[in-house]
Amino acid sequence: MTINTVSLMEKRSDSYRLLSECFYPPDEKFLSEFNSTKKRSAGLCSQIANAAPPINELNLLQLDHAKLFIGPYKMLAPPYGSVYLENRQKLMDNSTIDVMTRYEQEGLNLNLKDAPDHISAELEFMYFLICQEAEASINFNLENVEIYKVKQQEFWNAHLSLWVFEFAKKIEKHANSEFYKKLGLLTKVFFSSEVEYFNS
Amino acid sequence: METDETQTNVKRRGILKASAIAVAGLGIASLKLKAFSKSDDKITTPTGEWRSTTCQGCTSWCSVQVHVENGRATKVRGNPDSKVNLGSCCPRSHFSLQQVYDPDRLKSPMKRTNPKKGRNEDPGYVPISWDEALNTIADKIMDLRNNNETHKYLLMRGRYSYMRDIIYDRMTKIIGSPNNISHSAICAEAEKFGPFYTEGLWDYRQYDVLNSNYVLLWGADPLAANRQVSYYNSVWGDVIDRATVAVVDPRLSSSAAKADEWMPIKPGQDGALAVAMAHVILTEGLWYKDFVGNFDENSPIKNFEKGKPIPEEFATADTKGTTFNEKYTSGLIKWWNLELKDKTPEWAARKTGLSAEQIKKVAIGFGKAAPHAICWMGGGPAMQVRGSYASMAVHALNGLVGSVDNVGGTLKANKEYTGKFPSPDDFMDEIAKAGKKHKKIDNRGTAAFPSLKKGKPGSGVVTNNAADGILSENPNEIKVAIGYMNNFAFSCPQPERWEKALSKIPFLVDITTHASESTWFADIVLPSTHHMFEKWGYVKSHANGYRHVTLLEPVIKPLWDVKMDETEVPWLLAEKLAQKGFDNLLNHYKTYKDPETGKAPTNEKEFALYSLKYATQKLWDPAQYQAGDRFSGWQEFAKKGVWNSAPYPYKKRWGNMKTKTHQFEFYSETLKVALEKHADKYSTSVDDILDMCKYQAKGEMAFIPHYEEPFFWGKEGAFPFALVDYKSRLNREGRSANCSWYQELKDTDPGDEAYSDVAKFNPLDAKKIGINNGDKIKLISKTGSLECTAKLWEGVRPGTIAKCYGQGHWAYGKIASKVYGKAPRGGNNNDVIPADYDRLSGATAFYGTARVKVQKI
Amino acid sequence: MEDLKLTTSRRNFLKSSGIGIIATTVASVAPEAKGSPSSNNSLKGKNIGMVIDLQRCTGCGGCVIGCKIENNVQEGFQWARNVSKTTGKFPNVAHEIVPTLCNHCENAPCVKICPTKAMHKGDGGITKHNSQACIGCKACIGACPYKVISYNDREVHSFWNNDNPLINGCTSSAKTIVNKTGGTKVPYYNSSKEGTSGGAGVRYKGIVEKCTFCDHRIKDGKLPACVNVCPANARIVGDLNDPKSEVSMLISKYRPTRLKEHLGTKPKVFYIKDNNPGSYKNTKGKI
Repeated sequence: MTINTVSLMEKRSDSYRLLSECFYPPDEKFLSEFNSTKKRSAGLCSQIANAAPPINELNLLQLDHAKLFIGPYKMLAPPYGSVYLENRQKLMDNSTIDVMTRYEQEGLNLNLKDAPDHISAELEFMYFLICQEAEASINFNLENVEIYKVKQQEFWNAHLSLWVFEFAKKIEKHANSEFYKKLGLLTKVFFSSEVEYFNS
Repeated sequence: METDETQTNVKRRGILKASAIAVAGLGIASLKLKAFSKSDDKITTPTGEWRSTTCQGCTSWCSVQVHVENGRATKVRGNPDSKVNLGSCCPRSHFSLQQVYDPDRLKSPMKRTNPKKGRNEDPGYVPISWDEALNTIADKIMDLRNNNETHKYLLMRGRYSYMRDIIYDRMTKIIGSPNNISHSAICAEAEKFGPFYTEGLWDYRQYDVLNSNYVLLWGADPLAANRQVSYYNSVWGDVIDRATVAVVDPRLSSSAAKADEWMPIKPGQDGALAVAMAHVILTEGLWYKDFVGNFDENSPIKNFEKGKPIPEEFATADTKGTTFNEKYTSGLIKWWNLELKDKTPEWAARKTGLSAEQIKKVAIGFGKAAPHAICWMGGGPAMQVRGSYASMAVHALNGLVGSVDNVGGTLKANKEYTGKFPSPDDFMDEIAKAGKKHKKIDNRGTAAFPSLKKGKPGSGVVTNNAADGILSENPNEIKVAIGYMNNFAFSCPQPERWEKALSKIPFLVDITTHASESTWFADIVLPSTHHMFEKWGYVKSHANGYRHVTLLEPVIKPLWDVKMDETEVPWLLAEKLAQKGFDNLLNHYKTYKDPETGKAPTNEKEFALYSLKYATQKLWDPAQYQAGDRFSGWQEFAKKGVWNSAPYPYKKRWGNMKTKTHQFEFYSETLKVALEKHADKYSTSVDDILDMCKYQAKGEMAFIPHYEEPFFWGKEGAFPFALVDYKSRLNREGRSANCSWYQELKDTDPGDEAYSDVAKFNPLDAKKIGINNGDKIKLISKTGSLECTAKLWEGVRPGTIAKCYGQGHWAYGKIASKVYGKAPRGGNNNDVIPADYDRLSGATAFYGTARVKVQKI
Repeated sequence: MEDLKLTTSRRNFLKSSGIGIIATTVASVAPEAKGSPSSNNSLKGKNIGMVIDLQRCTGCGGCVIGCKIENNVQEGFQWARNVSKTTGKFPNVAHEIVPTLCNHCENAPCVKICPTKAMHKGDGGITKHNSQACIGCKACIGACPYKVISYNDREVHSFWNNDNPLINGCTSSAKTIVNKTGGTKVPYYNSSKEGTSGGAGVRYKGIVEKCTFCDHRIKDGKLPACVNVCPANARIVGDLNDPKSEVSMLISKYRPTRLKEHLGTKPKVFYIKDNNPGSYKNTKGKI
């Protein structure tokens, strides 16, 4: 068994956490943080930050977000796993239950006032699992390291891997703003690296 | 998307540096969650598990288990670990599935947008956040405090658990009001009056039916309603094998249908039957000598003879002494002389409409079964305008046959060891102390409302009279009121008084699972958890010679953002009050520490759990073990969900009862003290007080069990039928009519019809007035009317109409109401029952009170 | 009580310790007395039947509701049902309750008439229905003398398909509740029902349905739901082929009646004792 390097775990967990954050409805705080971090950050964060519009375009960004991920008409890029997995527009079904069960097994309560298979929840959950892996490796709890690696692999196989690429493609296709277009692209790029990670 | 942010720090290690990324921020060293929060008290479960909780569909309070599958509740069963309900549960508990998943449940706090209030004013509710709702309520309470008028705050309680004191007592006191009004007096207080003023027990009894040879039910229907329905259903097949069962009830109840003897008495005449039975038991020499005692061997009089008074003392040539030497009772001869000597079965036959032969047969059968004979009193004989004395008369029979506290008799509750919450005294400031001193809004303790709970005048609630207090601003106006899980605008007789009273209150809050009739008049509505599935709490209940303390547990995660009525809501309100500068309540609540860790609660969720652990510590903490079931700790207790007491210690109270004489009192010295105390307070006589309170007793009669004529509203000529109200075996505290199963199974109440609300007539009466099956009719009383359907049924006494309570909701969801907010499905019995009282106990009169006439629609 | 295997092993234990008499005594008071259809998972060679003790039955409706929940039976349909009747004249009145269910007749008219073998006899002599084979011709409904078969002439559980809230924004809708809980058709959906009967956890428009003796439960050694939930222990189930089963012993001890016996259907639901065992005055009557 291999123990991942701290920097790898850090990079992955940060990316998940960051992407999770990016799918929330944008507000002033969100944008200003990106704007203020343009120069200081690196990697994925800096790439996203560079696509962030100035604060005064917040409402355009909000509009684009709503069109892509909320409605009120047809969501252009539905952010729910079940939409892709079950091949129909029903929001709660077995894949959703499976997601919920996994969250609950970790003792997590969903605060997000939205479906459990929302992209932000699934991404943050992966972030959580990596953090657990990291903590276990810091404590040399090898058993838990293995457990949390397996949990990541399972969650990846059963959920994220099955829909994030289609989801990202839809964002790229339908987004009007540079920010979300870029987010779609970077999502795709990041998950390609995840495919490599999980295959290795 | 709304989110809460919580942060859990994971142990830092030197090798890990915080990440440089600004937004994602903190790296792995410190786990920061947004879409999730980490919970230590894991509520959700793996697939398919039975989880313990409590059913409060009626006051049986059975310990039950819910089958939870992927976080979904799918089935209910009795908790096999309870020695009280023995793993069985009645049909009500299953209905709870349709309550917790009722689409009409409130999912969000809401506020009224229509400033006008009234039955015909749609409140125009819109959803608001918890924050806004709580801020609004806290502002209103702060206004009261700032103006030194905290006594204008009112808390109304309906169905409760023993977490009640947090919101009902402590919160009211610390805010500074005397006005916490419970629903108890529309429940059964008069039923406790008789046992208290004979044996010093203000409580419901348990009945040792499996050891009994005679079970006489007085308006009680244990197979259908109250108390411990599940237990009595589970053993009744054996009970009727060994005991003679007789049922006193004007209608053929579920229990009467399986009894040896049905005694379809005229409504309100129970007292006549009771004293005539006592007369027979005495004249036949059937009293239980080991308990009551016997005539002195030297006394020239050695038996009770019809019409003959008995001198209390005797003197012969050789000796003198007490005629009758009582053992564990007191006042038998006075009772005989004052009341019983002329109360023959023939006399009672004229009053009750029963045959003298049947009365005699039952009295003799009952007496011969002594001491294993039970008089089981339900609400019927007691919840009447003059019910206190019938309550005493019925219970006194248990004294005559020595079944009180005896094998096969009537028992009190076993000892349990739950504890009180911390005292509020140190947290009541001057405003609170001053406010608390005001008189209560229900007028208890005024001359015409003695309310003699536990021997103390003015100590019992007069629930239904609070509406009049609010309307007449007597003793003062109410400006801010909070109600929780109560629906007085439906459940109290003459509910239109409550509609007006609730409309009058400038700021009304309702905490409820469903928008109900009372909600219709509220300004702010807070969505409550369902007690059986989503709440922490505990209740106590007794039967089968045991008492259990059973936990209410959150066995599923609520679908919506609802809060626990008795714990989370007051905590959140306390937080808001603290933000606004008044932190006494929050500081008080912070003293409810987790007994395991010593930690003070920091949020509403911790508070709910810690306060429960605090109150039940002696049951689960092995270091504080007292008696009964033993646990290794909180975890085990919570998993089992129920603690059982030690078995019942029979006869321990003989000679040691909580009465003035410490004996079972046939002449109640205890009542004498209480009544005289009350009369003295108003510098008048007991006779005068009783007259004011509509009783007939004069002089010494006031202190003994005796017969009083029923007090009916309406003369027989104008209102030919006496209404026989009763409770459905499917009622979940009057809130199950919105379950489709309730409507579909309504015919499990004998004589009733599925999907209908029927008034049942004896076919002879129906023929006389030309009513047919299925006719739409209106019942009209002196105070109101209702619409329902006619049903001809032989199980009803001629001259009466029997109708089940539970239907007639005009604002309780899509099924219970024909049109929500506008038209009821069926009729509410309370619409024809006048608001009147058994004033000695404070109880509302439901039975033997209303007369009605009938109109075809 | 939920798990029959426990009961059986307890009895075996008692037997093997040579105190078999106590075992029967225990059985007569303990909740386990509800009987045992199976000591292992196989129903082969068994003949499952039921005894209903009318004296114990209080007519509470627990069986009706327990059955509906277990089998996801929609509103208006009752596989288990209470039939009640009031007779006599005031004040001498009797109110009688007969709890019913499919009689699982030995000689079942519904099986004989079914053109597609959807209605068929399964292991344990249970009259089963295969939803997938049913063409909804309703011949069985006409043939059944007990009127215990229902036909789905519309969408099932339509109540739960409603998407309108009672109070806009403040209450949810039936449809949302079902989705949010993850139930199927109903929020309290019992998925274990899917194990048998052609996999129909919930039936659908165009087919019939009826009591299956909870075949999905008894195949696992569990009691039928109506037996399990009965608070009065009025329903007792077991193997009629085993002379030592509780049902066989009760049938021998009491003179049971069956519904419409004269039709020759040989129902396997037996009624013992009486709703009201009340006493009366000793008499020879008079002419």
